Amino acid sequence: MTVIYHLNVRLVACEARVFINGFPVEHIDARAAPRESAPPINLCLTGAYNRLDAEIHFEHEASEQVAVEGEILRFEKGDVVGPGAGDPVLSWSLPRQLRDQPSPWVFSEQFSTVDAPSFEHRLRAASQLRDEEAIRDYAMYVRELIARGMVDEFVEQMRPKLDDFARAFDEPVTTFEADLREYFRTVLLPGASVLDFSRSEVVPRPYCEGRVWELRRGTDDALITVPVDGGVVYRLPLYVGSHDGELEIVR
Amino acid sequence: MILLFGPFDEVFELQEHGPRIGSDSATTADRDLTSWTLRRMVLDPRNRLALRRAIASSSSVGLHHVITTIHDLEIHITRVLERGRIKMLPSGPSMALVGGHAEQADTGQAVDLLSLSQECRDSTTSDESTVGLVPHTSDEPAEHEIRDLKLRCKHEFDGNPRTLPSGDYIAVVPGPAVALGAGAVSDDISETVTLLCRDDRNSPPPKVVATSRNGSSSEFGDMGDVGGSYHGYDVHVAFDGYLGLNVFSREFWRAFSSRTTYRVEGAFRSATIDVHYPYIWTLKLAMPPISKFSAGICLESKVKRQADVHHAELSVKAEASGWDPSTFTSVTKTIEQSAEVEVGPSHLALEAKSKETVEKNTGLMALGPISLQRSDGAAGQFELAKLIGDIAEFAESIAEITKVFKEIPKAGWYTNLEIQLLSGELQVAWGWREHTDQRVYRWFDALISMTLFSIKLELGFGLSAASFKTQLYVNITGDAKVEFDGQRSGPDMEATVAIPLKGTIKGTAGFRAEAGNLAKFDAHVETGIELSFDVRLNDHDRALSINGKSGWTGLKAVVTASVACLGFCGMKTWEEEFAKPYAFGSFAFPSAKEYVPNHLTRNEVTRVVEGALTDWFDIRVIKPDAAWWDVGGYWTTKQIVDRVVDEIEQHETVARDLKTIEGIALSVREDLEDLGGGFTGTLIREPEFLAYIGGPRLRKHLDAAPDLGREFLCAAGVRA
Repeated sequence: MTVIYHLNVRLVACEARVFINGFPVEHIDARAAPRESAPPINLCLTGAYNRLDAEIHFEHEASEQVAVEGEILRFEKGDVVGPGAGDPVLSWSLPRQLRDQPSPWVFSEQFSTVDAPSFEHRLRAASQLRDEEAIRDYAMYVRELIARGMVDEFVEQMRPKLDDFARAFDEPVTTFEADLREYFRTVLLPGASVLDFSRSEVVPRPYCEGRVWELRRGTDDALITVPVDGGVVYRLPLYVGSHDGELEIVR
Repeated sequence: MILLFGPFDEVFELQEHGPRIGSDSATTADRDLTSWTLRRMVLDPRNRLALRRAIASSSSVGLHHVITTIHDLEIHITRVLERGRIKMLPSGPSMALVGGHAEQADTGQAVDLLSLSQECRDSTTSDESTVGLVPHTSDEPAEHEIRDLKLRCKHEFDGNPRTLPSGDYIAVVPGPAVALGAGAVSDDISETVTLLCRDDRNSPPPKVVATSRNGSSSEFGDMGDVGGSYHGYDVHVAFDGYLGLNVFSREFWRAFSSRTTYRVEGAFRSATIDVHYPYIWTLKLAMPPISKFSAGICLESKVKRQADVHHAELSVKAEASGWDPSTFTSVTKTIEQSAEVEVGPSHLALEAKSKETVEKNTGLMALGPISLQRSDGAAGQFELAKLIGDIAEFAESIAEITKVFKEIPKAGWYTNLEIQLLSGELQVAWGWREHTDQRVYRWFDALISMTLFSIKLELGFGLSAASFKTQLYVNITGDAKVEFDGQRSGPDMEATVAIPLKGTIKGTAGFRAEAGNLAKFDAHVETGIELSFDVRLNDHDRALSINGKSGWTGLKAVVTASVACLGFCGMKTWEEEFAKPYAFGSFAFPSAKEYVPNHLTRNEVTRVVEGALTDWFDIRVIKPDAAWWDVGGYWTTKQIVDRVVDEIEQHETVARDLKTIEGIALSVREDLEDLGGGFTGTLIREPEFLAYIGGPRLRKHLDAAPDLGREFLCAAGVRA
């Protein structure tokens, strides 16, 4: 039986970043109106001990209206995630003692997910990366693979991510690989703007104490952002880690 | 010229002036000062004498009646002031009392003299008890010749007959001596107005003749001296308009607003009697609950916890300026009180008790959705199907929310809908009542605690742009309530009450998706049901009207969803208008049309069902003992489709509009795939197919998608 965990977040009058074991799983801006989201989190679980960190930003004037709550929900594969569904393994909300503090409010929770694959080796035990320039070079290397249409090499760079997805969701790795190749062919290759960035625009952002780095274009967008017809925008987030001493895409 | 002395010996000139101005245009200013001035003036013996002389000499001030008491004098002077003018002569600041208003010439301030006139009358009640209606109090100069006409009807105020002293006009409402309230019963609609005549110059007339507007005349003889040298004549009058039982007809309201006028002649002066519609009507309204409506297929989730559902409430507690509290008893309060005294009842017992109390107190449940009773006990006549036809159509129009879907996407659509219209408590009563003076007014009594509109809607539709199974859902739950408690018990009170209620019942929207995937809105999405209601009480041609309309705001949003298997290739974002704003329609109560439901023909239903059962792999039914390679061993598609269509045709309440039939066809396809086997999963054995056709699964789909309009009418007791 494959188990899939989701984070459920409900926010009012604030902006929140939520991390599971140091990896970013949700960023929601609910300052203008209430929001809710339930992303899957299997890829950032670490077994018996998991840590949820939340960072809540808000306008001082709106502090009375701020509401933050959520759950870690457990589903079985094939279940439908929706209102009232899922078994909560953790229900969390804003600690009362933070109410009097200025923005941001930062707090943590712990939970256990022993029935799901652990990625402790990736998020806690992997070697930390320090060399930002090397990460920028790697970003330009990925850009080059796309520009030259080198799908096999691109897929190989994604190998750790492919393997982790297969483990996390108990699916054959070939399923993901086929999807990736299709995506490369239909979205990345025709999307000229995917390459529309220079080395200086690459902004690496560290997570999990420097074990995983996100590659961003400037500070606001994913490195691989592809607008297509009809106002549709594809975003492929790239998180780099060290795999057998080499930089590779791990998430 | 008549000169009157003010409180400080200022001199006023009293003159005849133009026409009287209606009370609706009157405004208020320095009322106290003018009231005080007038009271002082009418108490001044010099002024009384001057007025009497003026009357005796038939002067130009328009005072044609004999003044016999302080009360008479005050009434007359204030009446003259209502239509006359007092002009202050040069000593002191200039003051003029004009038309229906008193105006201070230098400031432009005005005083409502009709109210002032009433004040004078009220203030003299105690005087009247000491002075009485007998002429000549000790401080007044004796008069030798008195000519006076009074009108007295059979109704009483505070135990005294309603008597109009020195008047030549009275409006009356036939009926029992004491005015009837809501729900009271009496079949007395007779009316007798006694004309009291004293004429010291001539001998009393042996009879008077009352002629009605249609020309018929009756004579009424002298009953002799009835006291104070007054001779009495009992004039029997009646209302000659429509007295039928259809209060929703134009004929009724024409009659209700009309009056039968009698001219009474024979005395030294003629008198006029207006007779108004005699009955009081009581209307109670409580619409039946409407069944749930479900259609389509929800992407089922195993609900473990009660999800938060935002309940929106729009409400208005209306008041009418100056109205008294209603005489109706609140059913809701009675139920609450009944529940309070109950000690530890089970839920069911409490429910039964409440129902019983409702029936006992109002008869609402027992009498159907509309109870209409006349004060003589007769029940109102109306065609229920027509009266609530609009509401039925409106109910069904909301179920047609599925029309907003541009197409049926891959992951399907579904609607779960519960609505209530005009549920709760509404009791109104109306009729004419006599006022303490010569006037009558439209009496109205209302107690309303009603949920005009209540909705619990969840609808969902598949997100065809996503690479995984997901449904967008919209939850809209809320009520629109109105409360009113009031009784119009006087002619000077606001006549019509309009209670508008507008707003949006805001809903929430989100996604259901297969675990491991993500679909979300990139910004908060606002969606909701827009409502606009207008409740009117005591309007000119109806006692009660309720108009409503509503619509869905539609749904347009920026969506982010996983790309590729379990979001391996990140996310994609796009903006989409999932549903355009949609107007459900409108309704009016009372309405004038019957509800005509949508009705697809059998051929049209067949086309839809066939489309669903042959989409992708055909649904096939294999006969018993037939081998899969046996070409003749299968039902034809037509045979399969016909059996399904037969079931739809035979169902009594299922909605027969296109979207509902599409939803049912989709559900049937899903069920048959579930039962099916073989390579494609669409091959079903004949016994299983037949069991399905006559079984509870299909029936459940049909039961869940009724024509709400038809259901509503059935629940209300209208035969479909």
